[in-house]
Amino acid sequence: MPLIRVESLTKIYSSTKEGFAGIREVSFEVNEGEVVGVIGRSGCGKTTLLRCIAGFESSDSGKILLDGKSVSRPGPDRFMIFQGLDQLFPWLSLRGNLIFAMKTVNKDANMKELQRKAEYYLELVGLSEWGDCYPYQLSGGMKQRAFLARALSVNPRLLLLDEPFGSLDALGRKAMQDLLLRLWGKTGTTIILVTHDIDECIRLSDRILVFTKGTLKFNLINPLPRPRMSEDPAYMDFYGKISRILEKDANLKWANAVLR
Amino acid sequence: MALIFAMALLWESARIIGGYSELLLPSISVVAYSLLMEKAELLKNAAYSLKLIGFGLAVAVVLAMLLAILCMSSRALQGLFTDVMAVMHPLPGIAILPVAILWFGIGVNSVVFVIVFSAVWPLLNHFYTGFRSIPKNQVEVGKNLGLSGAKLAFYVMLPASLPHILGGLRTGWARAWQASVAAELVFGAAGGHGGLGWYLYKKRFMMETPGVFAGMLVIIAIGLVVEYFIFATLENLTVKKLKQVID
Repeated sequence: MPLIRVESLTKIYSSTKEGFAGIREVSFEVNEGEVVGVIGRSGCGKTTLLRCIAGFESSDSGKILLDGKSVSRPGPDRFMIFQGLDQLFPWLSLRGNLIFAMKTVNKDANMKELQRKAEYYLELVGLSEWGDCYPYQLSGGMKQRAFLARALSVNPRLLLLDEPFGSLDALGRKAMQDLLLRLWGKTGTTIILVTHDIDECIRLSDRILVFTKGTLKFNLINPLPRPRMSEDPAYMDFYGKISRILEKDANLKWANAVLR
Repeated sequence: MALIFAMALLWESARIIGGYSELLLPSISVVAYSLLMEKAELLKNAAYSLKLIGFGLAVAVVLAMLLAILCMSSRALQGLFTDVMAVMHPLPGIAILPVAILWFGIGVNSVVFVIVFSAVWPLLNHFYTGFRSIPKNQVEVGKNLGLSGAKLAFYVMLPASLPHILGGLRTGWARAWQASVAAELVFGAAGGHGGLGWYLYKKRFMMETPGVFAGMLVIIAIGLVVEYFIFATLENLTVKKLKQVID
């Protein structure tokens, strides 16, 4: 049985003659331990899909099944990392943020155990020395690592990442992708990753869902073995394939409007 | 300190240059003498005022917090309370006093009612604004961890809106003071005792101007103590330490 199954999921915010905002009739499955990338142009419904799975948006129709059970409300079994750097609670230290998350999810846990686990996850993302710092004292990259540490500390079945490294520069981005892969290798957490960066999608994902205008156009298996090198001709082929699909989706009307 | 000295200097020089009588503008020494002589009564009245204000403010804070949480949970209530707030907020608490007397009689209850009424609207306004300005991501992280309703409010929304809550408490405190003094100035002591408003009322009635000034000085002193020792400390320990506000 797949870990998560999405069946004919539809969520429309608004629609006009020319199109609609949201997603329509989206169906796919994600197996335990898989990294699935969701790629598409801005406004193609990637984030909507993720928010529906996380339970922040209710769908108009269709089902989301986690381990065969329907989910509709947010819960720690599907932990999401949002866009933006303001996700840590500013009144708690970094360690405090992790402990608060674990304590909220598991009320019976004892404090010593939580502290030990917080140290473990901080070390996993390389922030051991920063546990006492408050969010305003951390850089953007450190916050991103902290989000990952907190997310993993609550031991979710599914990790949902919404363009998680979008605010980082190229080097920071690469470092975070490597870190994510290392963490995934260690914990085996199932991940759905939304991105508009083809390279990021290929490097990280086992499977790639290509979205155009609110519908799931392609469900592609990533044929490349890890680690994936951009110099590899097979990588370039795969990149070209995805790129062509997305280019076809280019909104010509919008482009014309800009030219006019 | 320098400010107090400068004000005292201004006061004395205005009195000497203007040649005002002691009845209109008493000298500092006379006021200080009155302060010293009536120390016991002033303290008693101040304590009584603080008790009424403390109680009224506590009721107002709880009420405003509940209303703000209700507003956040329902769009219909949000609309309703925005309208009610727009009507009630500009209404001075003291204007409600005649009605309060009709409802609760002449006594402590009426004064407390006026205090609660005066403080609850600015408090609600601040709390509600605070809740609405919390970053969406932080609220959603809370929901993602499985929090909802009162728990989400207590563990996430309350600390996240602390700068606004502190602002609300400051305004609420000032409004409560104004209301309690004004209520006693208008209709005298509440119950068997009186607060500082009642003290001012008596002194004005007897034309004991130094006493009136002494009463006002006590009100100012309490205000300063609360601002510098309570609010500023709270602020330094929380929102300033965590850079939730610009220092």
